[in-house]
Amino acid sequence: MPSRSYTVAFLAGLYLWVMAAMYRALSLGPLDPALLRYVGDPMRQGYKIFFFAMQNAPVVYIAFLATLVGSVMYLKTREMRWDIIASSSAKLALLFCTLVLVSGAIFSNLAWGAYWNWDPRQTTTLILWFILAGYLSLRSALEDEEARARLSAVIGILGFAGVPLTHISATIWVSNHPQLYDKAAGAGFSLDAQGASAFGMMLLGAIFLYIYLLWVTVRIETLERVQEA
Amino acid sequence: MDARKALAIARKDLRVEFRSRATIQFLLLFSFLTLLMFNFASPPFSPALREVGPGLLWFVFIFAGMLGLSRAFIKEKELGTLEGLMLAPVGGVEIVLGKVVYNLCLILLVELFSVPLFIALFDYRVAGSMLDMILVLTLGLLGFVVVGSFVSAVIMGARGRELVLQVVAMPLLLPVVIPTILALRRVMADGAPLARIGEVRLVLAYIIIMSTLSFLLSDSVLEE
Repeated sequence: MPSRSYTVAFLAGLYLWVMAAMYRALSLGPLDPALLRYVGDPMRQGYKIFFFAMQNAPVVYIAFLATLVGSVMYLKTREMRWDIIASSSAKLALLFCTLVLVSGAIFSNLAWGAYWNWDPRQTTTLILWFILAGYLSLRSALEDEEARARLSAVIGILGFAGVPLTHISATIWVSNHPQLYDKAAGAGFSLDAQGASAFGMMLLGAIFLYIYLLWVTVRIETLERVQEA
Repeated sequence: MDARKALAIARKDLRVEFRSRATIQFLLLFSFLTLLMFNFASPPFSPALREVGPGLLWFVFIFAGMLGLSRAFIKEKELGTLEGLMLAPVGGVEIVLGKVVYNLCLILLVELFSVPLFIALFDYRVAGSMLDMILVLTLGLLGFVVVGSFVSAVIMGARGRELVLQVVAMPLLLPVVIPTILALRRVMADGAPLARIGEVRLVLAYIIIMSTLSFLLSDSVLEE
């Protein structure tokens, strides 16, 4: 286990890294005027909220993937540490998923004038949120430690396997749904080199934040179970 | 896996059910009531009903099914007969498959009852072929029963299991629920032939994925 000074150094480094990424994102120029006719005027500078919203989405998938791996490994080995990893990562996936939904809604409101407009990605993320919330409610409803680990692992696997088809369902549903905005606006937005590097830095920062939080959550959970036993 | 053992379990459940008729009575009454409620909620003879109707019809099954189908496993748990079932020379896969067949029989009875009632109450003229509509509905129900039965096996030991089932199963069912509504609307409102409805393939793919996973995971669910 790393000592406290290593943790402090890691957090300080992460803080400086994210600060640098934010500076890079915020010092980008205004949005290309050619794109402004698709979106509202607040997007001229407001599009930069992209850099504070979207980097969390890949983290949700990484965290859910860790839950899947933990679940499969638990069913194979029946070692509690895998269950601890799966459940801790699911909690963080729910946290990052909430962040994506809220920040995505703010972005959506600036861009298309509605907090929620059933964009396929938004819809898929919302369904993912429900799957994770269901997984965690199942855990809280099972008392026996072994049964909780075993049964929630099954739901973790089922939930992850459902995600690709959930996304397709959301997509075909939205294409049947009346369009609230011009699709070209989404397609026309692309990042230049500075934008791409700012996004990459924010993404890396978010991933390292997730890894740190996972480490802390796993440790707390392990200590709690030792205390209970 | 032995299909005959699974069918034996389904036959046992059907025999028990038709002695008391507790669940099927509940399912039919509940779906009748839900249809009436939907009918009260919608303006009579409104043209919007053509579009909304298929969704309403589908949700009758979701509501009734969510409450009724979990009984298959919860009943065994409550009566303490689950231990007996586990001691019998059948594996988890056969038990789950047996319950799927049993639940499918129940929900098909509900379908037989609710579809004519829906058409009569809403005065709904189905634009496409009636057979296509029944096929789409039955495929959706198959997916619903496969996922729903398996999840109810998972949650049967949980506290407040009827509530937990809703929040765990519903998100997992969306890849069945959404395409089925769309496909039903295509058949019932637009009159599209079955071969032209791509959504059906999505439901089929999801059923295959979920059946495979249920097959692989059944033994981990029903051990102890």
